[in-house]
Amino acid sequence: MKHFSAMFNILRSDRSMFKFLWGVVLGLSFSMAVILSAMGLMEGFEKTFLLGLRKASGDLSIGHTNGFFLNNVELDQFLSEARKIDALQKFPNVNFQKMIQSESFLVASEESKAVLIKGLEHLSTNLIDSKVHNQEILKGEILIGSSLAEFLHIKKGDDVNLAFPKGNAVADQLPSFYRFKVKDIIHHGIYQKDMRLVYMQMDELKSILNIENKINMIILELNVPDIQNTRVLDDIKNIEKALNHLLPRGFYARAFWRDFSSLIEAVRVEKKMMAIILQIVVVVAIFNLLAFIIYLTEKKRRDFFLLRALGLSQKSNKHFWYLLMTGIWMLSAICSLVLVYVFSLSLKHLDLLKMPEQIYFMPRLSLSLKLIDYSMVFSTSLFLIFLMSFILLKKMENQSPIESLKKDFH
Amino acid sequence: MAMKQAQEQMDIIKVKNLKKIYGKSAALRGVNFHFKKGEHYSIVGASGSGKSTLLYLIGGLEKPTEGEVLIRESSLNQLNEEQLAHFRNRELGFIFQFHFLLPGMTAKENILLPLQLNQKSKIESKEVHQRVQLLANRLKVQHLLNKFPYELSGGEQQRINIIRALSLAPKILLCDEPTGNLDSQNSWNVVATLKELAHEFQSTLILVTHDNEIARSFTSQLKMQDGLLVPI
Repeated sequence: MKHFSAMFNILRSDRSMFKFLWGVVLGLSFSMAVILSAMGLMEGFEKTFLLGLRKASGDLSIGHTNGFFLNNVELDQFLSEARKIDALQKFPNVNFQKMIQSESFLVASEESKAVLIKGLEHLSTNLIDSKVHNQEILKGEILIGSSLAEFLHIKKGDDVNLAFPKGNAVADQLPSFYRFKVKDIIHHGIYQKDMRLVYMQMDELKSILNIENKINMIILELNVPDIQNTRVLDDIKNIEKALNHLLPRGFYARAFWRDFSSLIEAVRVEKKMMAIILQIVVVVAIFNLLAFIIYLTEKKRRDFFLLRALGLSQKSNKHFWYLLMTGIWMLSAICSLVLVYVFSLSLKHLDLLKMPEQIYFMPRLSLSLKLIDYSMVFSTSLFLIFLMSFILLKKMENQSPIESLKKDFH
Repeated sequence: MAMKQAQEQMDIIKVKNLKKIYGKSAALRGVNFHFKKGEHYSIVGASGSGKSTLLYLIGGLEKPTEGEVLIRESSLNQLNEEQLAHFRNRELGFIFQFHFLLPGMTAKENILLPLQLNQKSKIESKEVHQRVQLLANRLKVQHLLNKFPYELSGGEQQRINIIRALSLAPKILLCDEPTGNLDSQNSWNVVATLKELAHEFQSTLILVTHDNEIARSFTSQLKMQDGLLVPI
């Protein structure tokens, strides 16, 4: 390894070379950061989107083609049977949440908005933000989504009205109004859900809708933290399949992403395509690296020739270049991590990077990268660096040192 | 038979039908020569006559288009890159016209480069350090060892170069116009030093020069002409 110090010395002795080297490192790190950020955005979108959907819809929902169905002993027996299906056995904390879902208008400050009311049997559920988790919704209280609250200028503790289409005390074909106190404002992370959802006690909704022993939805919660884990998603697919097989005629089970499955799939495909296409950026950066090698070998031809004359072997020479390439790659990888971190912070805090949530479902995108994403980007760039350096060094190896040296003097 | 063996032992370098062609031009057209152990040779010739090419072929820095170089009866053609590098490091001392000192290293670090590059040798570095110190005293550059090349004059740089070439006590000293960049006084000093040290180290000295007077001061004088090496 001693000879490396001599070779590094050749590099160190030239300031312009160092500036060039830093340029190469920055170029490479920037291009790796671009790929990581693009992948992180896609991954972050998918993750936040799935979490938001799950918060709003549970892991699976069971419904009926007729809408309402009886909430009786037979249903409870069926749910006990459902708990026994194989696909559910690996989830010990499965929870079935009976609910009623209906539409209404929320009226506040002379403005109104169509909302989807979910009457919940109990609140020990992931449907609601962790802040209000385990709290009970009392009669006369509702929880509303954050975007809705913002849109109608509603604060926690405010009184609002919910308008239901029929049942007016004076004229029963006119809407009936019910007054509620906003117990809390909740955030799902998805604009469309935060703008539409209102939660209340199931019994109260039952009495408003004048239905006694009926519900129109059952939510199944697996209570697993890593919802983006593809294996969990696969499990949910299996549970969905098993439930659909088991459910009586008219009933259906749907995984929580079903309404958005094409969007999620599109994001996944886009992520892969972006990762591939953006490799071009890395290739361009690697051309800078090759330009650096050529510049270095041309400018320091005499010095490298001297080392060969003094006994440096081609093998050691190659080792030096590969070590240098690895060093540049490592430095670039570290710099790219810093750049990605800065971008991630900017996404969180800079208003400039805020998204139109009506279009993108969420107000801010966040970066989410898995180890495999990092390893894919870094290993691909290292492979490309080695491959292109190998070709270049092979070409250089075939050049006569004397011939090129003579050019310096003539 | 015994005479032939003795003769072979005397010939440290044998050049057999050595040809080197660059593109369409032939630098060497079939050089044949035997260099004797411990002898001092000068080679003159016009620019582009193939003097340096011959040196680099002897040094294993280039591969011949045809023919071979034998060092102590071993053909360089048979050596792989690693063996050639080891051969250059242990057996050869190179001195170039433009000194070729690495600018980012002090004179001493430059001198010790061959030792640094010598990974597999069992040679004691202490011995090398002692030799370097002795040579530095002898060439009156001991006070310059910690200076960088840009702080040295041309003559001083060439003396550092000579110490580096001799640091591992090579048996063959190849000098490619070592005086080409020096004034007359310095040129003669460098040549005298080279001869003296080559004699002490029992090294075979082959010096390529443009200077006919310097060439004439050598016991064996050769000339490169039309790609061939001919005695003068």
